[in-house]
Amino acid sequence: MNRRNFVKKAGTAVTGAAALGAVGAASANAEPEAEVTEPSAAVPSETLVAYVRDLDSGEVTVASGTGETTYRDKALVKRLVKAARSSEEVV
Amino acid sequence: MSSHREAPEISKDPVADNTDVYAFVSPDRPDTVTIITNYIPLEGPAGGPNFFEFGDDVRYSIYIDNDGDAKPDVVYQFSFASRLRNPNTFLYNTGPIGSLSDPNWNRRQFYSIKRKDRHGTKTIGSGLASPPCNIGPRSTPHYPTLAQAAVHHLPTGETVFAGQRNDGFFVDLGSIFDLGDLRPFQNLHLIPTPAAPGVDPLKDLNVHTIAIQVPIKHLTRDGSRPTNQASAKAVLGIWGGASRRRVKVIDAANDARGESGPWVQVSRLGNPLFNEVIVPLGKKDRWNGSNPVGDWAYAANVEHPELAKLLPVLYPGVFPNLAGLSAARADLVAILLTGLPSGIVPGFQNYTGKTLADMLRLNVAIPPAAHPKPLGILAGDLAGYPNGRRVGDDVVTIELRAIAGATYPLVNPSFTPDGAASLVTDGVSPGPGRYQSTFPYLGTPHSGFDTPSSYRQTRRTSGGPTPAAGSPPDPGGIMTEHYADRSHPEQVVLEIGEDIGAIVVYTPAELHGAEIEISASGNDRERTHKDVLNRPINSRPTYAAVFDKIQEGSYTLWIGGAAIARDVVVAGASITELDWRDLPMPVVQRSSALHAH
Repeated sequence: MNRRNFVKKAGTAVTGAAALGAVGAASANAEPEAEVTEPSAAVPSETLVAYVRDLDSGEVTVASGTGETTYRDKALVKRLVKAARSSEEVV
Repeated sequence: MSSHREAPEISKDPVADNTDVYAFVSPDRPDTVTIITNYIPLEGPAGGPNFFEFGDDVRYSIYIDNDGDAKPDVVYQFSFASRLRNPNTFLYNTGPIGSLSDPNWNRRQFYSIKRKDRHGTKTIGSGLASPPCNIGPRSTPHYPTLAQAAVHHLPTGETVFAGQRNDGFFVDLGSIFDLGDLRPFQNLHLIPTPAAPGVDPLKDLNVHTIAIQVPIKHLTRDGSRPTNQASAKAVLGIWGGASRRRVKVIDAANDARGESGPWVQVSRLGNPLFNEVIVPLGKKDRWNGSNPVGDWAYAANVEHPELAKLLPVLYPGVFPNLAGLSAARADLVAILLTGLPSGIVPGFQNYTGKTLADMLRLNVAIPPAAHPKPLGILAGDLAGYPNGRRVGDDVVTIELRAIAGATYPLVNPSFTPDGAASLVTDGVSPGPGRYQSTFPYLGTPHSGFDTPSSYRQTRRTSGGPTPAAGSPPDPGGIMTEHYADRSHPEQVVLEIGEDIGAIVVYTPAELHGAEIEISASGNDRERTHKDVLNRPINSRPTYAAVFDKIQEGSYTLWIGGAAIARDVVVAGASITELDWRDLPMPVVQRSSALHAH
């Protein structure tokens, strides 16, 4: 899926997914800008994953351990989408 | 196996498990190269109701390096999409499938192909239909026609097929994975048992094939069709791979699946058996996720292969020269990682340079062999493995012999291979039906109805006898077949042991289906019998009755109530062969009932 399709699909319903190393609890606006970096560590066996269910309503599910919680967090979704826009296809 | 279930992770992901890669100059279209990558190992033909198909969530790739840097210069990518006509039935098909568009076919699969090269990425085919699996005479009554309809000729010059075929790979899995046993030589094994013919468990199994036939000039670095085998531009490096997306999210509540992230390679294959036999268990998954250009990291495993150390241990006293060979195996490095430079095998090279990489290396200037030899270059056939790989090449025996030291004199003429190095084999060869002479070259897949072959019912149209006049009606087109009527190409495992032997009686064709009786000498009354069956050898009909599990002793053999041979001696752990093909035979009637054989 390319970046444009990601945004489109996330807006319509289910599937767009993005992996995060950490999700802060504070407002995204108060945090420094994310910087692009090379991965320095292997993927942990219990990977924390956030995936956007609905772009317009800001619905995002965070899966961690054996559980997951869905939030309405427009700021987080906005930040994830912004991060997704900088993704490039890896062949 | 070549690469069936060869690594821990991919063994749990069959639809992405690349089992074999073949690459050869097409024998019937020598201006093209055919590349085949197989997936889904060990398909039981009767595996319904959800018959086998490619993964919609897998990207299948074929890579071609044409300049020797072990990086792909041409890539073909195959992506599949399944379509369901009727979600309200559990059936794969609701009636006979007469064509690829038959409404009776419920679960279909289509695919698209992209070609990537220095000009960019281009979709060269889309909406291409795969054939159904071969289910049986009611569901897929004209299977070869269905499969042929799924051979697509693309406007860009390629011919493609993606679907179920007969698995052409042959190997005695059961013995090799039992501590390196080779049945023909198992009397010499550290844990010995009497020698026996090899057994091929793949002979009744199918696989899913992606095959593409490409004009040679579409693959070479300068767009030419090379004719000089010594030219570097005549050599192509070829491998296959399968990838999955990084993230998959399963939404059971909404019956939805989501995927995201880059494609991550989960399976790779170039030379047969490379990951399986050369790469150690702890690195196999990593190898599958890596690319040939990084294979220098596995050079030590090629230079000092574990199997070469095991053979002298498993077969004490049989490989003394191999046991004393401690030098790095430059011959195996050449065969598997660089290709053979000019000057080693007269009239041949497939050298791609110093970059160590596991790829099939095909010299496209070598024309197809008029009479292919399964041992390829080892037998002087320059069009066979390790010059690419043809579907019928006996790569297990070739690599066994190479690892056993048979090819080391190519780089060190002072080395004398052990006598066994040129004889060692797992002892199996492909039976009839495994291959075909035209694209996609792998034979018609076994049907679920007819496989395993011990099933006693078959279609009348498949060669069964025609019912006599006055026979009861056979409304389904199905009738009970006399077991002897069909050919029996399958391997026969003779159960013999310390005081147990066997008798094989070869007869003229006229005795096909007749019973041969046997009795212990001095006790003519108590007889058992076996039927004379057609057991083809090298595709030639051979008629024989096989008596196994015979107690050591002396016996009489009978036909039609007449004693044909008396005092036939059976020794323990031995096979007594009687050739009656030139003897005058009494007129006999065929046996008429189904019974144990």
